[in-house]
Order: sequence, then structure tokens, then C-alpha cells
Amino acid sequence: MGRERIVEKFSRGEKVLVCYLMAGYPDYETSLEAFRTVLKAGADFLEIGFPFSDPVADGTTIQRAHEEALKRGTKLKHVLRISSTLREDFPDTPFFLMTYYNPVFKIGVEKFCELVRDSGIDGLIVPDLPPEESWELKSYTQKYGLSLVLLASPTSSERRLKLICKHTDDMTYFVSITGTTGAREKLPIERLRADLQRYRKSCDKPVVVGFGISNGEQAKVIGDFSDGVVVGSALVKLAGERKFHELSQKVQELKSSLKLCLKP
Amino acid sequence: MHGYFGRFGGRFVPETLMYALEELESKYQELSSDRSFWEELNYYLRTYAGRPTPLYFAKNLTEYAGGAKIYIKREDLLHTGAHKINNTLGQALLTKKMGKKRVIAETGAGQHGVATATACTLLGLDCTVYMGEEDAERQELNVFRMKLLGAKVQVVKSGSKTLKDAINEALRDWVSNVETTHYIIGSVVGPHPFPTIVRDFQKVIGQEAKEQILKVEGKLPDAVIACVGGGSNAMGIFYPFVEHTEVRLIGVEAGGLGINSGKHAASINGGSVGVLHGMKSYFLQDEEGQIIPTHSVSAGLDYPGVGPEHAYLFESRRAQYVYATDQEALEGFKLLSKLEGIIPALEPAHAVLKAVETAKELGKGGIVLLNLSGRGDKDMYHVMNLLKISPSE
Repeated sequence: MGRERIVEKFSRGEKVLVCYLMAGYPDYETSLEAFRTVLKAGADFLEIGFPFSDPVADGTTIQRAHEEALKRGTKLKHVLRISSTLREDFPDTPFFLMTYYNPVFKIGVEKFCELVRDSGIDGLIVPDLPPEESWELKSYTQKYGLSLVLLASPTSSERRLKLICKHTDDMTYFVSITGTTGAREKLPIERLRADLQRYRKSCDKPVVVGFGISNGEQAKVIGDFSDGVVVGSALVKLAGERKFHELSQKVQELKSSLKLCLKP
Repeated sequence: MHGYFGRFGGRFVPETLMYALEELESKYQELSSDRSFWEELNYYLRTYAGRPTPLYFAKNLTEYAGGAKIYIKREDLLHTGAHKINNTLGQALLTKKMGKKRVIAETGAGQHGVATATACTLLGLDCTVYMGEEDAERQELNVFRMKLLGAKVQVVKSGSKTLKDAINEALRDWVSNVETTHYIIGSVVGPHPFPTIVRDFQKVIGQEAKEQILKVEGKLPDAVIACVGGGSNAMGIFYPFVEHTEVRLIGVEAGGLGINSGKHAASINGGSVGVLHGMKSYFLQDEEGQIIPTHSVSAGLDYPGVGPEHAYLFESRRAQYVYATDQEALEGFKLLSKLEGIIPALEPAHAVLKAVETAKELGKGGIVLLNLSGRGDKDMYHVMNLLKISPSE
């Protein structure tokens, strides 16, 4: 239950595959089906996107998903319904809700945490909430037993990495590049490897790497020096095109690449 | 709390930008106590931008109101046509001192974009301006001006295709190029330290006005009035008067077709507290925190939020925030043109009727100070269509 699910996954020492999809994109039913597809295909963690009108950390693919999901009338109740429906069939997979801070703040931080927890979600990821501003949300994620995962970036100094490490729960989400989400053919692997070494010196919490990762090859290379990878845009694109078979294959490809990674 | 005005402000940005904001804050702290930085900036403000701007006693408008004297601070006479240049010269100079060579900016009506392109040309910086597709079509001439000045204009086609989305896109560019690029934000908005920096570069308006009015009247004004979108011209003229609690500070928001119509851009009068573009402040949003589209006759006020220091002045009751509808702004526009021979931009035109009303309220012996933040040249075509005047008439 709750955060133990997350801890349990990392304790096995396997590299985790975190899969992001947008609730309500391209529509409610299709997104529910897409979430099921990635879970069946082997996603270790699920990130459920709650659409926001102004997603500044996202590149074109996920921006469009935010816009489209909102146009379809996606509200918090739909996101919660997706999560509680999936929870029945997948009792052990950690679920995160990913959104920007304004919806959380406007709905009411406490009410938001309570509703989210009751729907079977284990943690929150809020890309525009740095550790300095996380105290208000943190007081309620703690109260309701949710994990609040903070992000780190290649531009984070040693001081900031220590700060993030102190305040993040259960793991850190390391952003691979200075930039927005979206598949990239080339990632700055050497810089990233050095960044992760810096991170490990400052922090002993597990770290997953996200932004830009779209294929097995990238997952394998990055998995070698991290605890897992996050894949978003590549999956969102396939879900948007209703290509369930390709979606399933993509997740299997990523999953089997991670199995080849070096053990810590 | 650090970087806050009361409970407003803060730094709600992706982690990637945090180091840039920390760097900006420490560099700015260092420079703001460096006399030579301000001397250099003042040199450009004086010889290039046209400071100090006059304080004009609006005799005809005063007679029309039949009450207190109305004085107008003439920011409309500045180079590029508005107060925006005060901030862009300051931040462009700051960019140079930080050793960065590339500047990005957002623009709504194009005034901040033109002022940024101008400052970048002057100081030899590479400049890219983000502008919503809808605004770029409405303000074609400003797009041309920016291009003529050597700036790249990136048309934004996402979201509502207006100022809010231009800021989103500028933030995405900044996240991607943060190590080489400075973001010259155009108003007292955004994450800390931007609201403070922009206010500091704009407070010259109020400092000059205060000195000027003391010189001619021997006392402070009873009321200071300015239009408020993001709020930089208002913050600039208000700030030096904040400590004088006997001076009323009045901000006029864009009421569009009226607050009840839902078609407006009055974040304080018709919005609620939220978090967007790095700051906690007042925003126009629905019950789940989705930002809602704005409407105003004036593109420069067409923004769904307001600077956090205004939110604080409002909540602490130091300043009062009212609104003027599109119709009232157009009346103010015509009134100032006909009575004083000054064609205001549509933004400060929102504050004209409120100045008249306040002058009446205060009666003889009172003084009203109105900030005329920009001139109306850019709005000619738009107003001509709105008033259905044919150029040959």
C-alpha cells in the first residue's frame, strides 16, 4: 500500500521502467486502454498525467496531449476514475500523478492529496515545484502517506542536489537534458553519466532519468548508470494514434533493454 | 519568506531554471550596489531613451473634471513609445554584465518586443522575441519593426496563441538554452527575482514624478493612478509613493466587456489566487486551476495574471484596484486626444476616466497624478476600426 510499493520495487535491484501517459488523451476510453496496455506490457511504475492549460516543461507532443485532453473536458474526477479502475487490476504497481502546481493549489492542496490517495495513487510529481516551494504540498503528502518526488537537472549545483535529496521521497527524477520533454535522437550521454556520478556523491536515494528517452538503446545506456528510466512522449504519441500494438511492443522493447543493464 | 511579497511571488519553475535565477539574483545584488552600473544605465536612459520625461499639468482635462489638478507623467514620449524601454535597457545591460550574448523575450502587443529588440541592437546582443500568432496578426507593424531592428520573431501557435503562450514558449526556450541566454521578461511578473528587478528598473518613473511634483506643487499628490496588466508601469510609479501612506494608489485593470461577462483581463477584480509563470499571485482560472482566456481591447493588458507585488498591495489594502471596460477605455482615449492633444495608448487610456472621477472626488486643492505609460500610434488602425471612422472623413 502507498509508498511501500515504490520501496519494494527498488529493493529488487532491477532497473525500473516508468511509463507516462496523459489521462483523457486522445479521449477517456482510449487513454484507459493505453494505460492498461503499458501495464500489461511490463511498466514498473505508471505516471498518470493530469492535463494543464500551460505546461511549460513539456515539448510539442505532450503539450498537444494537454490541450487535447482539456478540450475533451478532462477533469480531476476522470483522472481519479482512471487510477481507481486500474488499481483494481494492478495492485502492486506504483502509480504517480504528474501535473503542474496550479491545479493542485487551486483545487486545494489537502483536498487534492486526500482524493488522489483514495484513488490508489502513491505519489506526486510536479515539474514546476522546486524544493524551496514544496513545503506546503509536502505537509499534506506526508499526512496522506503520498510520496512527493522532486526533480533534479544537469544545472543543479552540489548544494541543490543535496537539497533535492533531502526533500524528495523515495526517489529522484533526474532530467536528462536542459530542455523540455520530447523524444530526441541524440542525448548527451557523457554529460549525463558525469551528472549522475555527481548525484550519487550527494544522494543515496534511487534515481530515474527522464526527458528525451524513446528507445531501447537509450534505455540500456542510461540504465547502466541509473536506477531506471522514464519514457513519456514516445508512448503518448502512440496512444494518441491509438496504436495499441506498437505501444505494447515499445514497452516490451524498453523493458527487455533494461534487463540487459549492469547490476549495481 | 525568500522572494515573496507577503504570501505572493516565489519561484515556481522547473529545477533547470533554478540555477539561472540564483545566478541572476546574486549578479543583480552585486550590480545594484555598484554605482558604475547605474551611471551607465542612466547615461543610456538620458541620452538614448529620453529621460527624464516631463510632468505635464493637464489644464484642459483639469477644467473638464472641475476638481483637483491632474498631472500627467509623460512616459509616452520615450524612445519606442512606452515605458518598456526603462526595463529593457536595464536588463540588456545586466545581460552583458552576466557575460551572456543571447536574449529572449515575450511580447503581446509588441511594445516590449520592440523595446527589447532596440536595447539588444544598442548593446550588441542576439535577440529572439516570442509572439502569439493572433497578436502577430493584429500587430503586424510591430513584427516588422522588430525584424527591422534585427530581432528574430518566433510566432507561437500553441494554446490561446496570445501573450500567455508567448511566455510559455519563452520559458521553454530558456529551459533549453539557459546556459547562454537571458530572459528579459517584460513586466513585474515571473519567478523571483524578476518582479523585483523589473520594478527597480521602472521605479525611475515614480522617483522623477515625485521630485517634479514636489518642485511645482510643494507637496505630494493625493492620488496616483495607472493602468495594470502585468503591472510594470503601475509598479514603477507606485513604488516611491508606497511609504507615503497618505497618497492613494489606484490601479485600473482591463474590464473588457465587464467582469460579469467573463470576457475581461482583470485578474485582481475577477480572478483568484494561483500559481503560473513562476509566481503565486491572482489569475483568471477555473475551479480546477486551468487558466482561462482573457479579453481586452488593449493587447498590452491582455494577460490572465498580475505581478505579485500588486497582489500584495491589494491584499494589504495599500493600493486599490478598479477596472475600466473597453468602452470606458475608448472614451478615455478620445477625451485625452480631444482635450489635451495627446493620443494615449489603449493601455493607459483605461486610467483616464478614473483620473477624472478621482479629481472630482478630491475637489479643488487636490492633486491627481496619472501615469501615461505609452503613446497611441500603435493603436491607430485598431481604434479606427473600433470607432468605425474612415480615414477620409
